[in-house]
Amino acid sequence: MTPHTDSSSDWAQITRYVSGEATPDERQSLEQWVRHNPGRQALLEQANRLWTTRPQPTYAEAGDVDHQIARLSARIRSTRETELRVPRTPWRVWAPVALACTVLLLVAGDRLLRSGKPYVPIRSVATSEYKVYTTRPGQRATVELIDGTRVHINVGSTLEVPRNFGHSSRTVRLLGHAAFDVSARNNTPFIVDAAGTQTTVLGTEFSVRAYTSDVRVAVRSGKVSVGACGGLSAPRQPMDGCQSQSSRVTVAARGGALVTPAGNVSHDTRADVARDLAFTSGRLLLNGASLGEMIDDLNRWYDADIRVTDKAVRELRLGGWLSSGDLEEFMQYLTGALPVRVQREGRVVIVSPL
Amino acid sequence: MTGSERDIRDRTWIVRLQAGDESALGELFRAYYSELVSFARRYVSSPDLALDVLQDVFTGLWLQRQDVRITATVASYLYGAVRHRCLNIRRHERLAERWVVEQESIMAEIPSVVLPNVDTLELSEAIEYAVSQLPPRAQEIFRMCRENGLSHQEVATTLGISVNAVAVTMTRALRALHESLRDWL
Repeated sequence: MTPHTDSSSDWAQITRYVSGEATPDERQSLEQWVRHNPGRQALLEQANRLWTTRPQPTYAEAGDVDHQIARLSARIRSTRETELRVPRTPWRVWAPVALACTVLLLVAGDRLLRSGKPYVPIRSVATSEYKVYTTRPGQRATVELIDGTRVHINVGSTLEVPRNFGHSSRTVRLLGHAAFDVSARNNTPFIVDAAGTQTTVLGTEFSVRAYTSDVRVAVRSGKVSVGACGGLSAPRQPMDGCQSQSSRVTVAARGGALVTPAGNVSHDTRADVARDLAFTSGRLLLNGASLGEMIDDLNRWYDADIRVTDKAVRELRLGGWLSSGDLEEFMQYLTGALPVRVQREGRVVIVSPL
Repeated sequence: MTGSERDIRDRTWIVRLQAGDESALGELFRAYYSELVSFARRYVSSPDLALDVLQDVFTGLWLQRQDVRITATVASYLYGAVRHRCLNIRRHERLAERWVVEQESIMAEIPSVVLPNVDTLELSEAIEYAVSQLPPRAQEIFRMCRENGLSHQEVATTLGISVNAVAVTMTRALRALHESLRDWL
């Protein structure tokens, strides 16, 4: 039996009370009003519960505040040195030129201020037909395409953008893992070709993971259509679209799709959008996966060669998340979380039971 | 800490940074960091972009520290600056404009929402869903109050509307949520 009140002035008071806006007098008068009627007491409790019940924080919160403060310091220092006031040209005017520069700058900023590793720009190759962006293991980048679509490229991946992108078609090819924040253009669907699959969207945010021919798609917002082109044995097919698509699946927000090497497309009942998009915030989510399952991902994330020979150790479960850091941090995490011994020689990390 | 205690603390930092003390800028940044990042992310989806917005706002504050006039609270100044830049970015990117209702109108009655029939939905998830279904303006105001802990006055200053408009919107939104979520409460 739920109490009911139609009075909007009652609700105004309840809202002020619950949100902390009420003055001490107002609080007293509301409390008195409530005391005279137990139904009102329940109502106030419900309103309070509505106000105070919060979800668990998502992966996107918190983050490295110290790093951001260091970045702020550096910016202030550099602006002090260059007293010139340069008029700001809207970037759209320079888009074709700025694209390459933007990518390098973004990665430069990332690398300079993070780990002590030497700065290595991501590979950006222009041929007469494509622009190709390649990240190495341990390296991520964000590329903004000419239509405003943002692509976050994860570690060890390659994105190919044809020269005529954005005119009559918007198709890109991916090897590896990327997240897409697609600009809505109703007449031109955005298509991602990856390991023989095609993911088609109008405007949305999603991730495609195709390091091997097992492809995984996860959708944060909007809808995508995922199809497999018959015959995945020819990865260098021309990018003019899959003519024969054996199966298609439509995926909505918070869902996902899986495509097997054989080309079977199905809904991913264990889709975890947060896990597949975590890299855009510089995190690798572990979520209870076993060390053995995560080795390939960890090698790509850290640019390392992790070796675990003991079967029992491979099956140990990992929790929480890792951020882009160096291998030392990861080794500390491992020895803190699992009963293991860790030895390192350059890129090679050997994990053995205690 | 209350809104006014927070503002007193913030103003001490402002005074210091106006005197050239860079560490005060750092302390202000640290205090507001996570709430401003999550606030910015409601407008621009990319986390890197949200961080860039914060960098721009605080760099701007430092460079114009002698000229900046904070008339209301420091919190509403920071939220306003972040929001302003985020909206510029959205306009620039030509994404769907959901936040352009800049006029002073008071929100019409807000209808309740039908939740998906998922038995395992927890209260916090159900609330989040219902809030996400609020009309854009009401949702913006509601989140600033509930999630960012801003006072009605601070929200009003940040958005450039009257305190009354904020109060009425909040009442209507809370009531609509209550209506939608009765089965959970």
